[in-house]
Amino acid sequence: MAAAAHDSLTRARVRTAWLFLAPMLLVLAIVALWPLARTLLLSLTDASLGNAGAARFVGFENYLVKEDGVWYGLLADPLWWLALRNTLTFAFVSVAAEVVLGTLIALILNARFRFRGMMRAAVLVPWAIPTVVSAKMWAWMLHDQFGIVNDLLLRLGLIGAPLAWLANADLALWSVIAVDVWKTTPFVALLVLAALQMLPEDCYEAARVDGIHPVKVFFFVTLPLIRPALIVAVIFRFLDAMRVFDLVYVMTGNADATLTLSVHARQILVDFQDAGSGSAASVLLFVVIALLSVLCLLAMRGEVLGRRQ
Amino acid sequence: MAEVKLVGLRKSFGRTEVIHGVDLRIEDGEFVVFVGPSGCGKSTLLRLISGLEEATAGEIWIGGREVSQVPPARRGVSMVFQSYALYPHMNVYRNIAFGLSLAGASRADMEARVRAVAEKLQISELLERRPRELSGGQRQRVAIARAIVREPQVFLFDEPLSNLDAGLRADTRVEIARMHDELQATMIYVTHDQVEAMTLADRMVLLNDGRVEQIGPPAELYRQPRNLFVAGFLGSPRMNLLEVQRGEGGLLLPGGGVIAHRGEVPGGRLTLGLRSEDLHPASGEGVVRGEVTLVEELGETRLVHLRIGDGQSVIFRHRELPGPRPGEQIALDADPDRALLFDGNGERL
Repeated sequence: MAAAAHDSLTRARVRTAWLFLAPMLLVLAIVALWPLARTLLLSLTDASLGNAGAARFVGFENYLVKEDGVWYGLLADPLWWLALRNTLTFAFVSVAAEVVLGTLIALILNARFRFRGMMRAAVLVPWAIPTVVSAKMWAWMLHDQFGIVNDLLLRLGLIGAPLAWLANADLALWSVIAVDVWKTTPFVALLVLAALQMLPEDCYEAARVDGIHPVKVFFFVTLPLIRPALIVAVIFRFLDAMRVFDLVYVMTGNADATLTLSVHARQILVDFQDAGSGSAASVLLFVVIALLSVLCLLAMRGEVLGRRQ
Repeated sequence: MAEVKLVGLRKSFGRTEVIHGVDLRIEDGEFVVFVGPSGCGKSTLLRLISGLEEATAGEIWIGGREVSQVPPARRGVSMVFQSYALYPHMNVYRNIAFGLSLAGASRADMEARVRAVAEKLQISELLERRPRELSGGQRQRVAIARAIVREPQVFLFDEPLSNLDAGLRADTRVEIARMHDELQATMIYVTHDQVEAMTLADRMVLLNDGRVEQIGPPAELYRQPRNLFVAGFLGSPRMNLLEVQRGEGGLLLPGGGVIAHRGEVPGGRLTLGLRSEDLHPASGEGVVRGEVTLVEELGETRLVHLRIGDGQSVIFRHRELPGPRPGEQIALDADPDRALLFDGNGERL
């Protein structure tokens, strides 16, 4: 009797849970699952942007195909591999810099000083500016003839002639990375600051009484304790950086030097009107990010989820 | 081991002064307990000694050295925190050893010291565990081990037992007392729990509002409180404080009783202090008479609340069975030698 009652109670609760989940599942299906499925289907056709209806099924030709002994398709396209390399470089370098700088800024903001509230607000400004606006703003500041950056560096005598920050193939990617670091470091700083404020203050007092050097305290106490927050920041930022589009597109357009997977996909789909191949590029980007996500989650499993329990 | 001396110690936070000039001398090897109500400054005083807070004025001497400008690490003190302050991500061994690695001890020497201390505190089996895998009592031992292993001149305890349940608190209290006997170290202990204070202290320092009210052995503070604050703070239930008047042959109590009093009695307001255990049922008229309003059964004894004249009441400890019942009229006698008399300023006469 009791067991049966218990069972029906459990069933009722499961039903309620599904009921509450249903709206979100529906929305997800409409805005995520359906476009994804459609993109996947389109990527297997030769659809062009104008006549998606008259598309013909071509199998995996958009991805990789061998015709007359020559490989065609995105995976055989050096440009796609260049975009992948650019994207990975962008993601690794920008996230590494953001985490280091963000942690430093968070440590400073966590100290007690006057105007701390104002400083905390000020640090957030770059993050609050819409990406397109900050990208345009930096594009101007980095302008080779009229930009303030060249002007300052010239006056300081650090460079002999103006540099083409965004046009020079050797500099463009680094310029874009620098702007992304400027823009997104506050986000990391905020995450780390939140973690720092959760730290047990008494541990630091104990360390002070025991005479442990602050640098040692940072590496042996602070860093291990904010590790979960750092990992969350890294995962968030890394997956975000992998699909970077707006910053790059606004600053350098379709230039090879900064071409990322997203920009590349847009170029094929919109500029070349090739809906089939563009969809394939999108799918590949999705696969790359999904793969990296799984790798991240596997590597961090237990770190973030397990430790909290 | 060292003596600790505080001279005119003051501390302000912003414009608020919280320690108003404390002078105190703690002998080498003494166990001194700072006790007082919350907000009295006892923890602040301990933090001043540790160096976690900087004194606004005055001197702190530890082992013959003025240390008020010396960083905490070089004062030769170890501190045990109320929250234990263990590093959550380090195992017990690392927690104990972390403070040692600085001292330049060799690895083998360090390990020997940690193991010896762990042995002493019976936590040898726990060395591999993390703090969150320990019970409150075990964490407390680790915190104490971490303090001992540095072999400080002075131990500072900041309410170390307040996070433990009652039974464990009593056990750990005994252990701390034993540890003090064994180490013969100077120990300064902060608590708001008067039982802890009374049982552990060689001398108690009773603080109120940033000032020392009285310093002395527990029994002295209990039996000869200097003023009404000390009298009221120590003892459970609180000391009965009754307004009395000078009368024929002694002091006139509310309800008409008279208690003998030797010595001069000044004019003005007078307060008589009687502890619950110094009152007992009278065979005759007694000095206090009233109606029983409440009986609190404690098992071994019972606390009887009595309403006497003028809306005042007294509590006395009743030992024999059966106890009185609410509504009964009772007369009590008091030992005149145990009675304390306070003047209008609250000072004991």
